[in-house]
Amino acid sequence: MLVSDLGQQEFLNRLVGIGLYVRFGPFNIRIRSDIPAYASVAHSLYRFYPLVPPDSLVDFHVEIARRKGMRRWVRPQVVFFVDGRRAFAPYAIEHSFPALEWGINWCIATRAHYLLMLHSAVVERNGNAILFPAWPGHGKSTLCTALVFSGWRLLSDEFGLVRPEDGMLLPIPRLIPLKNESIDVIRNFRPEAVIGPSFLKTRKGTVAHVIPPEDSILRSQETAKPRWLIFPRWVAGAPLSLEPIPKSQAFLMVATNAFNYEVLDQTAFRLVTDMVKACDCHSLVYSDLSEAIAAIDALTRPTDG
Amino acid sequence: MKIACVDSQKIALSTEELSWQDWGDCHIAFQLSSGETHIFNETTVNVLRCLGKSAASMAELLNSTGESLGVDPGEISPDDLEFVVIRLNELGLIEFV
Amino acid sequence: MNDGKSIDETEALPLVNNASDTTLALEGRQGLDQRRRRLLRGAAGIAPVVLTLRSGALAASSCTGALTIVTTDVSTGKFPGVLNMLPGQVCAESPSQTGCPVGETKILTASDANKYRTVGPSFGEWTCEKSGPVVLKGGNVAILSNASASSLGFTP
Repeated sequence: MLVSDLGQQEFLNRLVGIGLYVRFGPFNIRIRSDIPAYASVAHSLYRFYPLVPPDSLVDFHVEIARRKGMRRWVRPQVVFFVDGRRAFAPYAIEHSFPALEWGINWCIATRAHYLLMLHSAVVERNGNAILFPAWPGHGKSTLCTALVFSGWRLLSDEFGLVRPEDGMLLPIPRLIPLKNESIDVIRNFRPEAVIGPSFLKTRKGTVAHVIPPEDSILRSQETAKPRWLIFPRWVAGAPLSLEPIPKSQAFLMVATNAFNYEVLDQTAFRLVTDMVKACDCHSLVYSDLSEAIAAIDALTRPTDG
Repeated sequence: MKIACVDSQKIALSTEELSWQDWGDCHIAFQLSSGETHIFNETTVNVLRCLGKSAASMAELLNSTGESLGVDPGEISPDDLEFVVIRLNELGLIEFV
Repeated sequence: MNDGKSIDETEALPLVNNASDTTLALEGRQGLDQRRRRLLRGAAGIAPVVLTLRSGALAASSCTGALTIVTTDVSTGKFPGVLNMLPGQVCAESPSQTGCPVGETKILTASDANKYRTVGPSFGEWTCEKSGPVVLKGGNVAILSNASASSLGFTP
Protein backbone atom coordinates (compact mmCIF):
# COMPACT_ATOMS: atom_id res chain seq x y z
CA MET A 1 0.00 0.00 0.00
CA LEU A 2 1.28 3.46 -0.89
CA VAL A 3 0.57 6.85 0.60
CA SER A 4 -1.35 7.72 -2.56
CA ASP A 5 -3.81 4.94 -1.73
CA LEU A 6 -5.02 7.00 1.21
CA GLY A 7 -7.49 9.79 0.66
CA GLN A 8 -6.47 13.16 2.01
CA GLN A 9 -8.84 12.98 4.98
CA GLU A 10 -7.72 9.48 5.94
CA PHE A 11 -4.12 10.64 5.62
CA LEU A 12 -4.80 13.55 7.96
CA ASN A 13 -6.69 11.32 10.39
CA ARG A 14 -3.72 9.00 10.64
CA LEU A 15 -1.27 11.86 11.19
CA VAL A 16 -3.36 13.23 14.00
CA GLY A 17 -4.27 9.85 15.44
CA ILE A 18 -2.33 6.60 15.37
CA GLY A 19 0.37 8.02 13.13
CA LEU A 20 1.46 7.50 9.56
CA TYR A 21 3.71 4.46 9.30
CA VAL A 22 5.88 4.96 6.23
CA ARG A 23 8.98 3.25 4.94
CA PHE A 24 11.96 5.26 3.70
CA GLY A 25 14.59 2.85 2.50
CA PRO A 26 15.75 0.71 5.43
CA PHE A 27 13.84 2.79 8.02
CA ASN A 28 10.26 2.52 9.22
CA ILE A 29 9.19 5.92 10.49
CA ARG A 30 6.02 6.85 12.32
CA ILE A 31 5.00 10.43 11.60
CA ARG A 32 2.43 12.43 13.51
CA SER A 33 1.29 15.99 13.07
CA ASP A 34 -1.65 18.21 13.98
CA ILE A 35 -0.91 20.72 11.22
CA PRO A 36 -3.29 20.53 8.22
CA ALA A 37 -0.91 22.47 5.96
CA TYR A 38 1.83 19.93 6.69
CA ALA A 39 -0.57 17.09 5.94
CA SER A 40 -1.53 18.58 2.61
CA VAL A 41 2.07 18.88 1.41
CA ALA A 42 3.11 15.50 2.78
CA HIS A 43 0.16 13.70 1.17
CA SER A 44 1.24 15.07 -2.17
CA LEU A 45 5.00 14.65 -1.95
CA TYR A 46 5.05 11.26 -0.21
CA ARG A 47 2.65 9.72 -2.75
CA PHE A 48 4.97 6.93 -3.95
CA TYR A 49 6.26 5.86 -0.56
CA PRO A 50 5.11 2.56 0.90
CA LEU A 51 3.14 2.34 4.11
CA VAL A 52 3.89 -0.35 6.69
CA PRO A 53 1.44 -1.88 9.17
CA PRO A 54 1.12 -0.13 12.55
CA ASP A 55 2.50 -3.18 14.33
CA SER A 56 5.78 -2.95 12.39
CA LEU A 57 9.01 -2.27 14.23
CA VAL A 58 9.55 1.47 14.01
CA ASP A 59 13.00 3.07 13.85
CA PHE A 60 11.95 6.60 14.74
CA HIS A 61 8.78 8.14 16.07
CA VAL A 62 8.74 11.74 14.85
CA GLU A 63 6.25 14.50 15.20
CA ILE A 64 5.90 18.07 14.04
CA ALA A 65 3.35 19.84 16.19
CA ARG A 66 2.12 23.29 17.01
CA ARG A 67 3.93 24.92 19.86
CA LYS A 68 1.89 25.37 23.01
CA GLY A 69 1.07 28.65 24.67
CA MET A 70 1.07 32.02 23.01
CA ARG A 71 3.11 30.78 20.09
CA ARG A 72 0.24 28.55 19.10
CA TRP A 73 -1.59 31.62 17.87
CA VAL A 74 0.76 34.61 17.71
CA ARG A 75 3.35 34.20 14.96
CA PRO A 76 2.71 30.49 15.35
CA GLN A 77 5.57 28.08 15.65
CA VAL A 78 6.00 24.33 15.45
CA VAL A 79 8.26 21.97 17.32
CA PHE A 80 9.96 18.77 16.21
CA PHE A 81 9.74 15.76 18.49
CA VAL A 82 11.59 12.46 18.24
CA ASP A 83 10.50 9.52 20.37
CA GLY A 84 8.36 11.91 22.37
CA ARG A 85 11.18 14.30 23.20
CA ARG A 86 11.55 17.77 21.83
CA ALA A 87 14.58 18.49 19.70
CA PHE A 88 15.80 21.79 18.25
CA ALA A 89 14.51 25.30 18.55
CA PRO A 90 10.99 25.95 17.21
CA TYR A 91 10.32 26.67 13.55
CA ALA A 92 7.83 28.99 11.93
CA ILE A 93 4.66 27.07 11.15
CA GLU A 94 5.17 27.76 7.44
CA HIS A 95 8.32 25.62 7.60
CA SER A 96 6.67 22.55 9.10
CA PHE A 97 7.37 20.32 6.13
CA PRO A 98 11.09 21.05 5.67
CA ALA A 99 11.51 20.99 9.45
CA LEU A 100 10.26 17.42 9.64
CA GLU A 101 12.40 16.40 6.67
CA TRP A 102 15.50 17.82 8.37
CA GLY A 103 14.45 16.19 11.62
CA ILE A 104 14.28 12.77 9.99
CA ASN A 105 17.75 13.34 8.51
CA TRP A 106 19.02 14.19 11.98
CA CYS A 107 17.50 11.04 13.44
CA ILE A 108 19.24 8.90 10.85
CA ALA A 109 22.59 10.68 11.12
CA THR A 110 22.68 10.46 14.91
CA ARG A 111 21.21 7.03 15.45
CA ALA A 112 21.69 4.61 12.58
CA HIS A 113 25.14 3.53 13.71
CA TYR A 114 24.73 -0.04 12.56
CA LEU A 115 25.58 1.43 9.15
CA LEU A 116 28.52 3.52 8.08
CA MET A 117 26.94 6.78 6.98
CA LEU A 118 28.74 8.89 4.44
CA HIS A 119 27.67 12.42 3.68
CA SER A 120 27.17 11.69 0.05
CA ALA A 121 24.72 11.52 -2.81
CA VAL A 122 24.49 8.07 -4.40
CA VAL A 123 23.11 7.04 -7.78
CA GLU A 124 23.15 3.67 -9.50
CA ARG A 125 22.98 2.12 -12.92
CA ASN A 126 23.30 -1.59 -13.76
CA GLY A 127 24.16 -2.46 -10.19
CA ASN A 128 27.11 -0.08 -9.98
CA ALA A 129 26.91 3.02 -7.86
CA ILE A 130 28.55 6.42 -7.96
CA LEU A 131 29.05 8.14 -4.64
CA PHE A 132 29.32 11.93 -4.55
CA PRO A 133 30.74 12.84 -1.14
CA ALA A 134 30.59 16.58 -0.70
CA TRP A 135 30.23 19.33 1.84
CA PRO A 136 27.05 21.43 1.78
CA GLY A 137 26.96 23.99 -0.96
CA HIS A 138 29.05 22.03 -3.45
CA GLY A 139 26.11 21.19 -5.64
CA LYS A 140 25.73 17.48 -5.02
CA SER A 141 21.93 17.56 -4.61
CA THR A 142 21.50 19.48 -7.83
CA LEU A 143 23.81 17.15 -9.71
CA CYS A 144 22.15 14.13 -8.11
CA THR A 145 18.69 15.35 -9.15
CA ALA A 146 19.84 15.92 -12.70
CA LEU A 147 21.33 12.43 -12.86
CA VAL A 148 18.24 10.65 -11.56
CA PHE A 149 16.22 12.36 -14.25
CA SER A 150 18.81 11.26 -16.81
CA GLY A 151 18.65 7.52 -16.43
CA TRP A 152 20.24 6.92 -13.04
CA ARG A 153 18.46 5.42 -10.04
CA LEU A 154 18.45 7.45 -6.85
CA LEU A 155 19.79 5.76 -3.75
CA SER A 156 20.07 9.02 -1.80
CA ASP A 157 20.97 12.66 -2.17
CA GLU A 158 22.31 12.85 1.38
CA PHE A 159 23.33 9.52 2.88
CA GLY A 160 25.71 6.92 1.55
CA LEU A 161 24.55 4.05 3.76
CA VAL A 162 27.19 1.35 3.81
CA ARG A 163 26.32 -2.07 5.17
CA PRO A 164 29.29 -3.27 7.25
CA GLU A 165 28.77 -6.94 6.47
CA ASP A 166 29.54 -6.60 2.78
CA GLY A 167 30.17 -2.92 1.94
CA MET A 168 27.00 -2.70 -0.15
CA LEU A 169 25.06 0.55 -0.37
CA LEU A 170 21.50 0.68 0.94
CA PRO A 171 19.05 3.00 -0.79
CA ILE A 172 17.14 5.66 1.06
CA PRO A 173 15.51 7.52 -1.84
CA ARG A 174 13.82 10.35 0.04
CA LEU A 175 12.64 13.64 -1.36
CA ILE A 176 15.55 15.71 -2.66
CA PRO A 177 15.69 19.19 -1.10
CA LEU A 178 16.87 21.88 -3.49
CA LYS A 179 17.97 25.26 -2.28
CA ASN A 180 17.68 28.73 -3.76
CA GLU A 181 18.87 28.96 -7.39
CA SER A 182 19.02 25.18 -7.76
CA ILE A 183 15.23 25.04 -7.78
CA ASP A 184 14.95 26.94 -11.02
CA VAL A 185 17.98 25.17 -12.44
CA ILE A 186 16.19 21.83 -12.13
CA ARG A 187 12.84 23.26 -13.27
CA ASN A 188 14.55 24.38 -16.47
CA PHE A 189 16.67 21.26 -16.84
CA ARG A 190 13.85 18.77 -16.33
CA PRO A 191 10.41 20.41 -16.49
CA GLU A 192 8.79 17.01 -15.93
CA ALA A 193 10.30 16.70 -12.45
CA VAL A 194 7.67 17.14 -9.74
CA ILE A 195 8.84 19.81 -7.33
CA GLY A 196 6.86 20.69 -4.22
CA PRO A 197 6.12 24.16 -2.93
CA SER A 198 8.96 26.57 -2.20
CA PHE A 199 9.46 27.36 1.47
CA LEU A 200 10.87 30.85 1.78
CA LYS A 201 13.26 32.24 4.37
CA THR A 202 14.13 28.97 6.00
CA ARG A 203 17.44 28.63 7.82
CA LYS A 204 18.86 27.37 4.55
CA GLY A 205 17.23 29.95 2.32
CA THR A 206 14.44 28.94 -0.07
CA VAL A 207 13.90 25.19 -0.11
CA ALA A 208 11.76 22.98 -2.34
CA HIS A 209 11.57 19.20 -2.54
CA VAL A 210 11.78 17.03 -5.63
CA ILE A 211 9.91 13.73 -5.77
CA PRO A 212 12.37 11.11 -7.04
CA PRO A 213 11.32 9.00 -10.03
CA GLU A 214 8.82 6.37 -8.91
CA ASP A 215 11.16 3.60 -10.00
CA SER A 216 13.81 4.75 -7.50
CA ILE A 217 11.30 4.50 -4.67
CA LEU A 218 9.90 1.15 -5.80
CA ARG A 219 13.42 -0.31 -5.86
CA SER A 220 14.39 1.03 -2.45
CA GLN A 221 15.25 -2.44 -1.13
CA GLU A 222 17.74 -3.08 -3.95
CA THR A 223 21.33 -2.56 -2.88
CA ALA A 224 24.21 -1.41 -5.09
CA LYS A 225 27.95 -1.89 -5.23
CA PRO A 226 30.21 1.16 -4.94
CA ARG A 227 32.10 1.57 -8.20
CA TRP A 228 33.04 5.25 -8.53
CA LEU A 229 33.79 8.01 -6.05
CA ILE A 230 33.32 11.44 -7.59
CA PHE A 231 33.92 14.54 -5.49
CA PRO A 232 31.84 17.30 -7.08
CA ARG A 233 32.09 21.04 -6.86
CA TRP A 234 29.92 23.48 -8.77
CA VAL A 235 31.81 26.66 -9.67
CA ALA A 236 30.07 29.39 -11.66
CA GLY A 237 31.52 29.66 -15.15
CA ALA A 238 34.16 26.99 -14.57
CA PRO A 239 35.22 24.73 -17.45
CA LEU A 240 34.39 21.09 -16.92
CA SER A 241 37.09 19.09 -15.20
CA LEU A 242 36.77 15.40 -14.33
CA GLU A 243 40.15 14.16 -13.16
CA PRO A 244 41.43 11.12 -11.31
CA ILE A 245 42.63 11.83 -7.79
CA PRO A 246 45.02 9.85 -5.60
CA LYS A 247 43.34 7.19 -3.53
CA SER A 248 44.93 8.55 -0.37
CA GLN A 249 43.15 11.85 -0.98
CA ALA A 250 39.89 10.02 -1.69
CA PHE A 251 40.22 8.11 1.57
CA LEU A 252 40.71 11.29 3.57
CA MET A 253 37.85 13.07 1.86
CA VAL A 254 35.44 10.19 2.41
CA ALA A 255 36.49 9.62 6.02
CA THR A 256 36.35 13.26 7.03
CA ASN A 257 32.98 13.61 5.35
CA ALA A 258 31.35 10.66 7.11
CA PHE A 259 28.69 11.17 9.76
CA ASN A 260 29.90 8.41 12.04
CA TYR A 261 33.44 7.46 11.07
CA GLU A 262 34.72 7.75 14.66
CA VAL A 263 31.72 5.94 16.09
CA LEU A 264 32.36 2.86 13.96
CA ASP A 265 36.03 2.69 14.83
CA GLN A 266 38.06 0.09 12.96
CA THR A 267 34.99 -1.03 11.01
CA ALA A 268 34.81 2.41 9.42
CA PHE A 269 38.52 2.37 8.62
CA ARG A 270 38.14 -1.02 6.94
CA LEU A 271 34.99 -0.07 5.03
CA VAL A 272 36.38 3.20 3.71
CA THR A 273 39.66 1.51 2.80
CA ASP A 274 37.85 -1.24 0.91
CA MET A 275 35.55 1.20 -0.82
CA VAL A 276 38.37 3.45 -2.00
CA LYS A 277 40.36 0.47 -3.20
CA ALA A 278 37.38 -0.84 -5.18
CA CYS A 279 36.40 2.49 -6.73
CA ASP A 280 37.77 4.74 -9.41
CA CYS A 281 38.20 8.11 -7.72
CA HIS A 282 37.74 11.46 -9.44
CA SER A 283 37.21 15.11 -8.72
CA LEU A 284 34.58 16.95 -10.74
CA VAL A 285 34.40 20.69 -11.22
CA TYR A 286 31.50 21.87 -13.32
CA SER A 287 29.26 24.80 -14.09
CA ASP A 288 26.98 23.25 -16.72
CA LEU A 289 24.78 20.34 -15.67
CA SER A 290 24.45 18.81 -19.13
CA GLU A 291 28.20 18.80 -19.59
CA ALA A 292 28.70 17.21 -16.19
CA ILE A 293 26.16 14.47 -16.92
CA ALA A 294 27.71 13.73 -20.30
CA ALA A 295 31.14 13.46 -18.72
CA ILE A 296 29.86 11.13 -16.00
CA ASP A 297 28.12 9.01 -18.62
CA ALA A 298 31.32 8.77 -20.64
CA LEU A 299 33.30 7.83 -17.54
CA THR A 300 30.89 5.11 -16.45
CA ARG A 301 29.48 3.77 -19.69
CA PRO A 302 32.29 1.40 -20.75
CA THR A 303 32.03 -0.60 -17.51
CA ASP A 304 28.24 -0.77 -17.29
CA GLY A 305 26.64 -4.22 -17.53
CA MET B 1 60.78 23.99 20.62
CA LYS B 2 62.97 21.87 22.87
CA ILE B 3 61.72 19.24 25.21
CA ALA B 4 63.91 18.82 28.25
CA CYS B 5 64.37 15.04 28.23
CA VAL B 6 64.15 14.00 24.56
CA ASP B 7 67.82 14.35 23.58
CA SER B 8 69.17 12.25 26.40
CA GLN B 9 66.79 9.31 26.29
CA LYS B 10 66.46 6.26 24.13
CA ILE B 11 63.30 5.95 22.10
CA ALA B 12 61.60 2.63 21.42
CA LEU B 13 58.55 1.44 19.56
CA SER B 14 55.61 0.72 21.82
CA THR B 15 53.36 -2.31 21.56
CA GLU B 16 50.46 -0.17 20.42
CA GLU B 17 48.35 -1.87 17.72
CA LEU B 18 47.93 -0.16 14.40
CA SER B 19 46.00 -1.27 11.35
CA TRP B 20 47.83 -0.01 8.26
CA GLN B 21 47.03 0.89 4.69
CA ASP B 22 49.75 2.03 2.31
CA TRP B 23 48.35 4.32 -0.36
CA GLY B 24 51.68 4.90 -2.05
CA ASP B 25 51.99 8.61 -1.35
CA CYS B 26 51.18 8.28 2.31
CA HIS B 27 50.34 5.66 4.91
CA ILE B 28 47.12 5.76 6.86
CA ALA B 29 46.84 3.82 10.09
CA PHE B 30 44.02 3.14 12.51
CA GLN B 31 45.05 3.11 16.16
CA LEU B 32 42.96 0.47 17.92
CA SER B 33 43.33 1.80 21.45
CA SER B 34 42.21 5.36 20.73
CA GLY B 35 40.05 4.82 17.66
CA GLU B 36 41.94 7.57 15.88
CA THR B 37 43.13 7.49 12.29
CA HIS B 38 46.56 8.92 11.53
CA ILE B 39 48.29 9.88 8.34
CA PHE B 40 52.03 9.36 8.11
CA ASN B 41 54.38 10.20 5.33
CA GLU B 42 57.25 7.98 4.25
CA THR B 43 59.69 9.64 6.61
CA THR B 44 57.55 8.99 9.67
CA VAL B 45 56.97 5.40 8.61
CA ASN B 46 60.72 4.96 8.35
CA VAL B 47 61.16 6.44 11.82
CA LEU B 48 58.81 3.77 13.14
CA ARG B 49 60.53 1.05 11.12
CA CYS B 50 63.92 2.00 12.49
CA LEU B 51 62.60 1.97 16.03
CA GLY B 52 61.04 -1.38 15.31
CA LYS B 53 64.51 -2.76 14.79
CA SER B 54 65.95 -1.32 17.97
CA ALA B 55 65.64 1.50 20.45
CA ALA B 56 67.65 4.56 19.52
CA SER B 57 68.64 7.95 20.74
CA MET B 58 67.53 10.99 18.76
CA ALA B 59 70.91 11.23 17.08
CA GLU B 60 70.90 7.54 16.18
CA LEU B 61 67.34 7.78 14.94
CA LEU B 62 68.18 10.77 12.76
CA ASN B 63 71.01 8.82 11.14
CA SER B 64 69.16 5.55 10.71
CA THR B 65 66.06 7.22 9.30
CA GLY B 66 68.12 9.14 6.80
CA GLU B 67 69.95 5.97 5.83
CA SER B 68 66.70 4.07 5.47
CA LEU B 69 65.28 6.78 3.23
CA GLY B 70 68.47 6.99 1.21
CA VAL B 71 68.97 10.69 1.83
CA ASP B 72 71.97 12.66 3.06
CA PRO B 73 72.27 13.01 6.84
CA GLY B 74 71.60 16.74 6.84
CA GLU B 75 68.37 16.56 4.90
CA ILE B 76 66.18 15.71 7.87
CA SER B 77 65.99 18.56 10.33
CA PRO B 78 66.61 17.50 13.95
CA ASP B 79 63.87 19.90 15.04
CA ASP B 80 61.39 18.31 12.64
CA LEU B 81 62.31 14.86 13.88
CA GLU B 82 61.94 15.92 17.50
CA PHE B 83 58.54 17.46 16.73
CA VAL B 84 57.31 14.18 15.34
CA VAL B 85 58.89 12.09 18.10
CA ILE B 86 56.97 14.17 20.61
CA ARG B 87 53.73 13.59 18.72
CA LEU B 88 54.33 9.88 18.29
CA ASN B 89 55.02 9.66 22.01
CA GLU B 90 51.77 11.49 22.74
CA LEU B 91 49.93 9.00 20.59
CA GLY B 92 51.49 6.15 22.49
CA LEU B 93 53.23 4.74 19.43
CA ILE B 94 56.71 5.20 20.87
CA GLU B 95 58.06 5.53 24.35
CA PHE B 96 61.12 6.92 26.04
CA VAL B 97 63.10 4.15 27.75
CA MET C 1 38.68 -7.45 4.07
CA ASN C 2 41.02 -5.84 6.54
CA ASP C 3 44.12 -4.94 4.59
CA GLY C 4 46.23 -3.71 7.44
CA LYS C 5 47.83 -5.99 9.92
CA SER C 6 48.29 -4.95 13.49
CA ILE C 7 51.78 -4.68 14.87
CA ASP C 8 51.26 -7.84 16.89
CA GLU C 9 50.30 -9.85 13.83
CA THR C 10 53.37 -9.06 11.80
CA GLU C 11 56.29 -11.42 11.70
CA ALA C 12 59.50 -9.68 12.58
CA LEU C 13 58.64 -6.03 12.09
CA PRO C 14 55.67 -3.83 12.88
CA LEU C 15 55.01 -2.34 9.49
CA VAL C 16 54.35 -5.24 7.17
CA ASN C 17 51.17 -4.80 5.18
CA ASN C 18 48.84 -7.47 3.90
CA ALA C 19 50.48 -9.70 1.34
CA SER C 20 48.25 -8.40 -1.42
CA ASP C 21 49.73 -4.93 -0.95
CA THR C 22 53.31 -3.84 -1.23
CA THR C 23 55.41 -5.59 1.39
CA LEU C 24 57.54 -3.23 3.36
CA ALA C 25 59.61 -5.66 5.42
CA LEU C 26 62.79 -3.78 6.17
CA GLU C 27 65.34 -6.61 5.93
CA GLY C 28 64.29 -7.40 2.37
CA ARG C 29 64.73 -3.88 1.08
CA GLN C 30 67.85 -2.04 0.07
CA GLY C 31 66.13 1.36 0.09
CA LEU C 32 63.17 3.14 -1.45
CA ASP C 33 62.25 2.58 -5.07
CA GLN C 34 62.51 5.46 -7.50
CA ARG C 35 58.81 6.29 -7.36
CA ARG C 36 58.88 6.72 -3.63
CA ARG C 37 62.04 8.82 -3.81
CA ARG C 38 60.30 11.19 -6.19
CA LEU C 39 57.27 11.40 -3.93
CA LEU C 40 59.51 12.01 -0.98
CA ARG C 41 61.42 14.81 -2.62
CA GLY C 42 58.33 16.28 -4.23
CA ALA C 43 55.23 17.65 -2.58
CA ALA C 44 55.48 15.21 0.33
CA GLY C 45 58.91 16.50 1.42
CA ILE C 46 61.51 14.96 3.70
CA ALA C 47 60.16 16.35 6.96
CA PRO C 48 58.33 13.68 8.92
CA VAL C 49 54.58 14.23 9.09
CA VAL C 50 51.93 12.93 11.45
CA LEU C 51 48.36 14.08 11.01
CA THR C 52 45.29 12.91 12.88
CA LEU C 53 42.08 12.69 10.93
CA ARG C 54 39.11 14.70 12.08
CA SER C 55 35.67 13.88 10.78
CA GLY C 56 33.68 17.01 10.21
CA ALA C 57 30.18 15.92 9.36
CA LEU C 58 29.39 15.93 13.06
CA ALA C 59 31.44 17.67 15.68
CA ALA C 60 34.38 15.38 16.17
CA SER C 61 36.49 14.79 19.19
CA SER C 62 39.95 13.36 19.32
CA CYS C 63 41.89 11.51 21.94
CA THR C 64 45.22 13.18 21.99
CA GLY C 65 48.09 13.88 24.27
CA ALA C 66 47.45 17.01 26.25
CA LEU C 67 50.54 18.61 27.70
CA THR C 68 48.55 19.14 30.85
CA ILE C 69 45.06 19.79 32.11
CA VAL C 70 44.64 22.88 34.22
CA THR C 71 41.83 24.46 36.15
CA THR C 72 41.63 28.16 35.49
CA ASP C 73 40.89 30.52 38.34
CA VAL C 74 37.22 31.46 38.39
CA SER C 75 37.96 35.17 38.77
CA THR C 76 41.20 35.78 36.93
CA GLY C 77 41.53 32.74 34.68
CA LYS C 78 45.13 32.31 35.87
CA PHE C 79 46.84 28.98 36.41
CA PRO C 80 50.41 27.92 37.20
CA GLY C 81 52.61 26.93 34.30
CA VAL C 82 54.14 23.50 33.73
CA LEU C 83 57.33 22.29 32.11
CA ASN C 84 57.44 22.83 28.35
CA MET C 85 54.49 25.22 28.26
CA LEU C 86 54.96 27.95 25.68
CA PRO C 87 53.01 31.05 24.70
CA GLY C 88 50.50 30.53 21.90
CA GLN C 89 49.70 26.91 22.58
CA VAL C 90 46.13 25.78 22.03
CA CYS C 91 43.81 25.68 25.03
CA ALA C 92 40.95 23.22 24.54
CA GLU C 93 37.95 23.74 26.75
CA SER C 94 36.07 21.05 28.64
CA PRO C 95 38.37 18.11 28.02
CA SER C 96 37.25 14.67 29.08
CA GLN C 97 39.12 11.44 29.61
CA THR C 98 36.18 9.14 29.05
CA GLY C 99 36.65 6.66 26.25
CA CYS C 100 40.34 7.36 25.73
CA PRO C 101 43.40 5.33 26.53
CA VAL C 102 44.87 6.01 29.95
CA GLY C 103 46.68 9.30 30.00
CA GLU C 104 44.94 10.68 26.94
CA THR C 105 42.37 13.41 26.79
CA LYS C 106 39.39 13.83 24.52
CA ILE C 107 38.89 17.32 23.17
CA LEU C 108 36.53 18.84 20.66
CA THR C 109 38.37 19.38 17.44
CA ALA C 110 35.61 20.44 15.12
CA SER C 111 36.90 23.91 14.54
CA ASP C 112 40.05 25.91 14.92
CA ALA C 113 38.11 29.14 14.96
CA ASN C 114 38.28 31.24 18.10
CA LYS C 115 40.48 28.78 19.90
CA TYR C 116 41.98 30.08 23.11
CA ARG C 117 45.78 30.29 23.28
CA THR C 118 48.18 30.37 26.21
CA VAL C 119 49.46 33.78 27.31
CA GLY C 120 52.31 34.15 29.77
CA PRO C 121 54.21 33.58 31.85
CA SER C 122 53.60 36.49 34.13
CA PHE C 123 55.19 35.89 37.52
CA GLY C 124 54.94 32.20 36.82
CA GLU C 125 51.25 32.27 35.95
CA TRP C 126 49.45 31.82 32.65
CA THR C 127 46.05 32.46 31.12
CA CYS C 128 44.17 31.19 28.08
CA GLU C 129 42.92 34.00 25.91
CA LYS C 130 41.42 34.68 22.52
CA SER C 131 41.00 37.92 20.65
CA GLY C 132 39.10 40.57 22.56
CA PRO C 133 40.84 39.73 24.76
CA VAL C 134 38.55 37.15 26.27
CA VAL C 135 40.00 35.07 29.09
CA LEU C 136 38.91 31.54 29.96
CA LYS C 137 37.86 31.41 33.57
CA GLY C 138 36.68 28.79 36.01
CA GLY C 139 36.93 25.52 34.14
CA ASN C 140 39.18 22.68 33.08
CA VAL C 141 41.34 23.30 30.06
CA ALA C 142 43.66 20.98 28.16
CA ILE C 143 46.86 22.60 26.94
CA LEU C 144 47.99 20.95 23.72
CA SER C 145 51.59 20.65 22.73
CA ASN C 146 52.46 22.22 19.41
CA ALA C 147 52.94 18.77 17.95
CA SER C 148 49.49 17.68 19.04
CA ALA C 149 47.83 20.88 17.83
CA SER C 150 49.60 20.69 14.51
CA SER C 151 48.66 17.06 14.07
CA LEU C 152 45.02 17.94 14.63
CA GLY C 153 45.22 20.66 12.03
CA PHE C 154 45.14 23.69 14.25
CA THR C 155 46.92 26.71 12.89
CA PRO C 156 50.15 27.20 14.85
